[in-house]
Amino acid sequence: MKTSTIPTETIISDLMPRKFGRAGMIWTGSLILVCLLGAFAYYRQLDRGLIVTNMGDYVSWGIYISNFVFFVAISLVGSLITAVLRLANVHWATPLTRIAEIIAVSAIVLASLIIIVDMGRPERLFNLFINGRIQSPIMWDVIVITTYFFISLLLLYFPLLPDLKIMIGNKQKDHKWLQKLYRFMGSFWRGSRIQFKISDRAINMLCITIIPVAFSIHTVTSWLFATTYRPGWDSTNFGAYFISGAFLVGAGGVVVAMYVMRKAYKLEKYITQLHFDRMGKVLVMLALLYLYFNVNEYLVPAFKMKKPEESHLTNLFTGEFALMFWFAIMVGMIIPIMILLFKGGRKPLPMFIAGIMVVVGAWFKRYLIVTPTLLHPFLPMSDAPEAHLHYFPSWEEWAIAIGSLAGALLIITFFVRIFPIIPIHETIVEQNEQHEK
Amino acid sequence: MKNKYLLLFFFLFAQLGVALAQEDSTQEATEEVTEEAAADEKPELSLQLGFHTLNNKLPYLMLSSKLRKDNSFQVITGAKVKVYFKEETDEGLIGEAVTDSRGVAKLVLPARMKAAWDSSTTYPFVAVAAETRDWVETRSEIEITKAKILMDTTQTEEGKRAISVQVLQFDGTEWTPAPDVELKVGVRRLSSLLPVGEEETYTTDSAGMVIAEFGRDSLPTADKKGNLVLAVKVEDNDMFGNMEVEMAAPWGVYTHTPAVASFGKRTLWATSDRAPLWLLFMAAFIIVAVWSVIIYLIYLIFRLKKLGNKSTVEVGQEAPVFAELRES
Repeated sequence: MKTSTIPTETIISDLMPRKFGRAGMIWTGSLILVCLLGAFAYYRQLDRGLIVTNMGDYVSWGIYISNFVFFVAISLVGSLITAVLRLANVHWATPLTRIAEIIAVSAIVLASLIIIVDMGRPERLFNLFINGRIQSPIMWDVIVITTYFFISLLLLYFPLLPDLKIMIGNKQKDHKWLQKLYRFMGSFWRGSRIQFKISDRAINMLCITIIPVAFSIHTVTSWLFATTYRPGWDSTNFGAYFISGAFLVGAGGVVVAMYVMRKAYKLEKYITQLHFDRMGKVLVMLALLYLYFNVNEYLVPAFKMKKPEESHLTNLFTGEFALMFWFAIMVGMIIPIMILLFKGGRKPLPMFIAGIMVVVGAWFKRYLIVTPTLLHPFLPMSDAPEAHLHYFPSWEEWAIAIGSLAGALLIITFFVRIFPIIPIHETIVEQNEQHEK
Repeated sequence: MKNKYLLLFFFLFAQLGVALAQEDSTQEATEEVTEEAAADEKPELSLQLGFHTLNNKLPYLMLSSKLRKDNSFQVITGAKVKVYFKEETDEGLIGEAVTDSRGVAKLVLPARMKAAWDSSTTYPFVAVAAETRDWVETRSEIEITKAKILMDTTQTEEGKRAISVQVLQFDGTEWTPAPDVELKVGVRRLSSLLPVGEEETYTTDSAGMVIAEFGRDSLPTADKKGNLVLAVKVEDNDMFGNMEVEMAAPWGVYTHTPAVASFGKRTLWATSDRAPLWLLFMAAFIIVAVWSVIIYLIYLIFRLKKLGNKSTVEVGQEAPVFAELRES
């Protein structure tokens, strides 16, 4: 790799967190504004109740739950990039591990928050823990999300310890409060062999543990739907379908983050063309896999066209949701596959565009999984009001949903400001190892 | 030249006058349209007043309110409606009803009206909804004739079970038969009235009588004596409103329905304290296994912390990277 010739001091100075520039300030300020708008919309929802949303007796899970599924999906990338590739001894992914982990942590935090937003009476949240039924997949989701959050946090923390020592030693440019934070988090790290041995063992244990937990988190989320007997959800394929989609959107998110970080912090020496090329191959494989599950998910029921499925499927293929459905399929899968199959498409800019397409397509795909099914209940209400037959989120729902997306980006932004987004110590060690070879 | 400017001035002045006149007339026209629209926009409330008695006892009134808006009727919640008996005075005021979320309100006649009630042969009621922002003052009136239903069990000429019904009305001096009254005769089931025979409805003859043959065989009932609740119902009659009488008859078959086999047992659909054991064990095993790892890892953080406080001699050498960094 190109990093083999970079002096250690240069690596440290290149990868140290930096103060926001003008663009960074504008970016952060805009995110804060969007979050504040979301907070105001949520205040209105708290004050007036869920009546401010356009959810009703038919669509009781609207944009909030679509957003929740999206966040859970994107959070899976932590286990893919960090755990799967680390256990497989794939070293090229080292500069991407922290990006993947912070995406995972921020997404899982917002997934938990958006569930609370969806509750009409959030002050009764504790009842879920006191009176929860272990028989309910919703309870499994609560347990598994909490578990995944802690594991992701630990997986972010352990590899950060050696970098904390480096940052404590590099005082010149930092604020005092940052130094205090670094000391609080990692002043005990001396970098001794015993400490490394323990830390490596911990990271290995985490990598092994996080894979089944990550699979559980999204499988259980898919079961929230698949355990009900409704058109569009009643599928034995749903767990695998959700997992493959989650890996795809997560990898897409990492590609977008890679490109932005590389540009913003001039990290071309560390996130190279090689990383884009390899991530491109991972992304195209995942997109093909997800496309395969989509074919199974839609074509097989369409071939049989059972009566209850018929209105749901025709609504997706040619009806009310056709535009969004074909947008999600084309933009979320087919066009990125066509871009990434070619070597020229796996260069940074086309990769960035493909990544954006995957993430945007995935968001709409989650909306399509949740909403159209709810509009087709098995036992329709007689004389259901017109408003129940269609759903378009209210401005409060949009503001909260977009605010939550901004919230996730804000967590990542602050993390990048405070901690090195590419592991400094691991980069130095890998460079030394290669040099010795 | 001067004349030219004068002409131009007059021309402009005349144009201004025309424009102002047009504006005034447009404004007047707009005001007229707005007034008309305002009058159009404020419709009458659709008030339905219903009179009900059960077993010829204390009557009550049901009120429903709807408003025509955007070419459809919308239920009005919280509409305040005053209902009067006989006269629209404080004495005749039965009460002020407020419609609920279904747009419905119920009013029971107060005890102070017993004397007026007993001495009357017809009962006029008036409902008045005062004018609000959304509707103009609306009234609804009904007049009910005093009536009662007598029912009993009997047998047909073929010796089959039957129900005899007689509807009587009070003409001021005595009870006389009420002919041509449409009514339902049925058995009270969980949510509706099951007709006793083939006929959906019956009509009283000149003697105000109906004989309804009981054609239901071995109807199951939870009553150990086999009692069924028979009911006669007059609905939305112009003269008598809504009347209903019930009586019990041992014409059913006591059927013991055992509780659902899984009731009270450990199932996936039971309450949280009755979760299946296999599920509890499985969930507990997974939770304990994963959280043991998390707790162990947190313990490792504390161990790392402890090691950090010891001297280099005790914890071993620094990793080469840090040694190199320190030297540099």
